[in-house]
Amino acid sequence: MTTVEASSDRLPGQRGWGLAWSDTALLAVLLGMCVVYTVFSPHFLQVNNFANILRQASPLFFLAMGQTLCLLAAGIDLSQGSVVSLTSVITVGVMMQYGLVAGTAAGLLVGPLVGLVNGLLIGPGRLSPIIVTIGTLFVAAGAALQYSGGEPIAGIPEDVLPYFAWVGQGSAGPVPVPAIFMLIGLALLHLFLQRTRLGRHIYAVGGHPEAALTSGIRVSWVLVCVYTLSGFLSGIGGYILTARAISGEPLLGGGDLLLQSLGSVVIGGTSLFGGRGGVLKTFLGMLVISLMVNGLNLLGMSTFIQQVVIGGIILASVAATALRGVQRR
Amino acid sequence: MVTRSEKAPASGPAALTARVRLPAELDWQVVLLTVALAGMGVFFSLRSPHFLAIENLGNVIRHAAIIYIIAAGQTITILSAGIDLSQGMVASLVSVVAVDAILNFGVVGGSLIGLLAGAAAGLFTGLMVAYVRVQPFLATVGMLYIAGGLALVYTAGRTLFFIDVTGQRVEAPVFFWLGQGHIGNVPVPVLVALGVAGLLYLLMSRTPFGRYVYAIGGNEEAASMSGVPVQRVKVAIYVVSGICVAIAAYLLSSRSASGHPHLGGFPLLMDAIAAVAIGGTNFMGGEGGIYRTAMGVLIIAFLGNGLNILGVSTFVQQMIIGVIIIAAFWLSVVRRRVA
Repeated sequence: MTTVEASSDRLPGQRGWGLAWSDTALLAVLLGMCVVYTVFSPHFLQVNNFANILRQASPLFFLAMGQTLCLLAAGIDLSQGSVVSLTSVITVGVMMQYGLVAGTAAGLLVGPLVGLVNGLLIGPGRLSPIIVTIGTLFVAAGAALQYSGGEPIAGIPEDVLPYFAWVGQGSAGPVPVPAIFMLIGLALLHLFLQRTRLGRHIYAVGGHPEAALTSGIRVSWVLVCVYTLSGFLSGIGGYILTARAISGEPLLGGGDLLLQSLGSVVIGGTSLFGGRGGVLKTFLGMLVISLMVNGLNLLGMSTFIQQVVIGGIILASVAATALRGVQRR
Repeated sequence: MVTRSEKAPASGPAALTARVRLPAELDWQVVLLTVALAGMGVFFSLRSPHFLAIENLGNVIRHAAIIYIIAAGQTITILSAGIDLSQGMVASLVSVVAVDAILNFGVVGGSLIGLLAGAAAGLFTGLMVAYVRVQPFLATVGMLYIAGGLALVYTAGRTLFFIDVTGQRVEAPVFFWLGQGHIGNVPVPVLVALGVAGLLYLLMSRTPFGRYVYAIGGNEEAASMSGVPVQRVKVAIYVVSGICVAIAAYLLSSRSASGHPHLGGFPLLMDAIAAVAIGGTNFMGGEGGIYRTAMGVLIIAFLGNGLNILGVSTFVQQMIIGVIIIAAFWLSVVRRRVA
């Protein structure tokens, strides 16, 4: 744990939960949004609405988790959106021919494979994460379009459909199935980062790569793991999203998904320079984005203005972080 | 932007001149890319008689020229160890603002307002980066959302055509000529791009601004300590990028004779970044140049065109471009390690 603490000296409140006083501010923002939305819309404070928010947030959550790992290791994964698209078409394509299990296996294999390529080029290959993942962004997006011929793939067999759709659309009582996946994922990743050696090494590699290397950490290996995991998590996000749409969409991840994933991490307060932050922070950041979108929709604000608002909030939150950093100096 | 007064601290930054990679010396990256481009040219013209047709080359270069104007602006931000991810969306914003202004105030006023919109977006980003000290990556993601949203809000998501309320076609011949016209065999946008490239070349190689950009990208703290006005230069960098985007968006709008809130977006941004990456400008800043990006743009343009003629799907082309981005970067890294 010592390496982690040493590299995060700017967050004195950081303990086992990986949260700090800045997260209290985020919680306050979340609460404030809830109050405002509750006052202005009778539909906001409903069990159904919150179930919806969590269901819609789940795919974004998995991407944001992968992105958090990359940023903690002082990298970035720009190929996430393309991985979602490729996972979507492969899952449905294979499922239509070979059934549920094969489709799921093939779909969930796509992400780690793309991630492994990223990791090998960035870790042992020592190439820049931005360039490598832009490259695989192009490759995976092109592959998704080529595999599907540019058209959505629809027509999952009737006998398989209910099981697949359950992943995206089902509920256990009032709790949506994707939300359950999300909470399990959050718990596992939090434990992974805080309690395992590899998890702590990720912080060390991001905080100070040379120090990590001299203290015997196999930096290349850690990076391979980080990007493979990021690909895997993006793949899960893509799988859940596909299970909601029940068709293979070659442009599923082409839109805002990557930027929202980056936005969640950054609003949560994980540093772009590596070594500082955590998955719980990202979870809060993702909730801010999801609640905001939901609330603005309920208030009837056009999606066009929502974009401007999201941009403003991203800028305000990073500006606040930056200004606080300047003051402390 | 680059005022005379910035020449004053000659004692410090003069030493930086040595750091600047002068284009006069042989740039192996450019040599390699030229060889690759020539090889592609030979290959495609052997495979298809249509490749070397004047009309084909003209079309390819017209589009490449417009992309180059954007990519050149991107190059300058990347040289300073920054990045401008808002370019695509700012292009959309400029497109609707410029066309709307041209419809209302005529070509001259409208064009100026369009340019100003791009510069204003760049100025805002630059101030965020320089004085609020927001990471360029994040500042421009914020601007990406804001500009994209504003473009949609401005026209309520509709495309602006050159038609007035009575349904009559509005003529703006000068505006259309800039994007669609020719002088001799040469498309006008190519001439505009050459003009922009010339100006940027002078800016980067003959003014303090250029040296400062390389110095900031190479080592910001050292630059700051040796008297480079880092924050002011950063603001200028993003304004330059905004103006480049505005010019390109203006030409694209002229070509399609419309103001389109989805003109730019992600594809345009990725084209620009891919060109910079293939050209071999270092994304950590300080090494590279707009002449390298020119090679990157040409390679993407002619590769896409040649593969089109050979009937390779655009989807596969996208994959090939991805591989080339990584390969070109790997090449430049290997070259640096050997040297």
